[in-house]
Amino acid sequence: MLHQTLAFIRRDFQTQSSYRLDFIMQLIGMIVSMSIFYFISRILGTAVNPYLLRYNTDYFHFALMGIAFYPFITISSNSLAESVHEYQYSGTLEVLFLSPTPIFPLLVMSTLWRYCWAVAETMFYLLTALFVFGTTLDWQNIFTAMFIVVLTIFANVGLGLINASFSLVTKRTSPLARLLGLVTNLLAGVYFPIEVLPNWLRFCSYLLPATYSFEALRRAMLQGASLTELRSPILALLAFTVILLPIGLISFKYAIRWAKIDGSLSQY
Amino acid sequence: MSNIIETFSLTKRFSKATNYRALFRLQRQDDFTAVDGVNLQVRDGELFGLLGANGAGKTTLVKILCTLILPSDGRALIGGQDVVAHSTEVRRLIGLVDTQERSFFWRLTAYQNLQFFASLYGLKGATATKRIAELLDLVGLTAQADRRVMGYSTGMRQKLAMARGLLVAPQIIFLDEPTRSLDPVSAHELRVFVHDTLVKQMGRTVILVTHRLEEAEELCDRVAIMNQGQIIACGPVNDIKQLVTARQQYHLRIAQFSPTSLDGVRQMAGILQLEATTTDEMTTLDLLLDDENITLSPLLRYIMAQGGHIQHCQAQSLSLEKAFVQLVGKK
Repeated sequence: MLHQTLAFIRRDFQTQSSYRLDFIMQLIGMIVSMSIFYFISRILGTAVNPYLLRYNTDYFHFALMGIAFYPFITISSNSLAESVHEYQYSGTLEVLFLSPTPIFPLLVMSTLWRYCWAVAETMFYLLTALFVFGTTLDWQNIFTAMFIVVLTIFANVGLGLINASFSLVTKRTSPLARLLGLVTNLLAGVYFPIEVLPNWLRFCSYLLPATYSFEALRRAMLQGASLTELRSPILALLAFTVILLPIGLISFKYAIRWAKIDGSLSQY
Repeated sequence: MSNIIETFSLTKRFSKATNYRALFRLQRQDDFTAVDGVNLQVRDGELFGLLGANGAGKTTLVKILCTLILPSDGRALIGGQDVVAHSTEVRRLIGLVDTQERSFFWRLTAYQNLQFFASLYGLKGATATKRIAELLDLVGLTAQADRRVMGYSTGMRQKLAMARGLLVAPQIIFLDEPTRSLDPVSAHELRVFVHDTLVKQMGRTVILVTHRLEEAEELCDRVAIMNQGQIIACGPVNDIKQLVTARQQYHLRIAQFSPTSLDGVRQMAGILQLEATTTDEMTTLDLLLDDENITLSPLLRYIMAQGGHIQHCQAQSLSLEKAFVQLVGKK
């Protein structure tokens, strides 16, 4: 299994490195987006902002945590569906199904490169922020943040499986994935605190696992909160995992069966 | 020799899902029967041909056997294992060389593609490297191994598909139109490899799905002809031909035969096909007779009565292609 895992990572590295310009543009994009938030923060100034009071930080630090860890949210909820779609499009899905290894582990392996890339992206954001923009993060709490990231992945992967099921059946990007992306951007506290939202929208934000992820990550990296202090968002993420993961697994199993009955595995 | 593939009344019906509500219907409406009660036995170590016109159900049947499509009714056993209940075990026994255009990672080179698929099948390190080199050599792609697949021609991708299908040389290999886009030399080499190496030397069972009837005739121990989802004939090639032996093809050359008399030939009972070529001196007829014992004598008498001098009359052996056309046409 380890050998196969490495084969998937190597394949995706080979594919990605064949798009060199794309790689350079991604790096530039990261620096530009970070700079935008840095300058917005300078406009807002260093005066104490009531919405950021409980994070005890300025807007740049707040936004940095949002953009640095956001890739884990999108990857865990979208990458399985993206992999299915890519295999359908490249005509390789049936070839994978013919392998003696069951398809679910193969699809999980297909997403690993994206996670590796997300780690690199997050580290690039945090280190650039540290060395270029002079941010002050609680680096001693990085392992707590890593634990939250793992929980975030588990809490979202159920949604990822539901999205992948849509892709298998409809041969299209899941409408749920699009909706989830939009709603997460708006409501989960990626770019601004959810306290800004009206009450009814803030209630909606509590229905998203990402809200708890950002809450926990900011408190860990900006305030040095311990795991005990973070038990509320951690329990919320565990609850999402317990509820969504089985639903995702069942829907994925059903979708594979449906595609095999329909004879549409290779169609896109 | 034991049967390595067996199907029992295997049936596949497809339904049209016209909207999302159809996905959740418990009772689905079946609109089209692609495989209809197929009973088939393929022996271990056999080179078996599966023939049929477009839409006959060959690919659906192969995909059911490869665990890619679930049957609606009936059973299929591969190496004694049920393709539905024990699909993982079945996949260890089979390989599919599907030569459709899209089945590779186009940004990767041929070598990188094979390296990836070798890993999927558990081949690693030096063993994988050696095997890939052997197969690239076999299909004649060694010099092109480091080119990206996106730059390959259709024939080259087909050769690469063959190399991939043989990475682990499974016990049963399904070859779906393996020579479709190959040049004559490559096609011949591949046929020799399939027959001499895969089947005779290595003892593998090969299911050859093909439209090239002369290919099936040359290679296969037995063939099955599918039409409208059913197996309408199955057996050694000569036995298949025997099914239509009453129908006989004749080649005639006739001097002084008026083209206007051809209408009379066409209207004779028992003439199934007539192809005529007329020059100033000679008329050439290629005829397919329903039953030569009944039709041939009246035909020759008619030609002579019309003033024709028969200079050549020869019965021609029936090719598998003719037999196929007759069988499918009869159904």
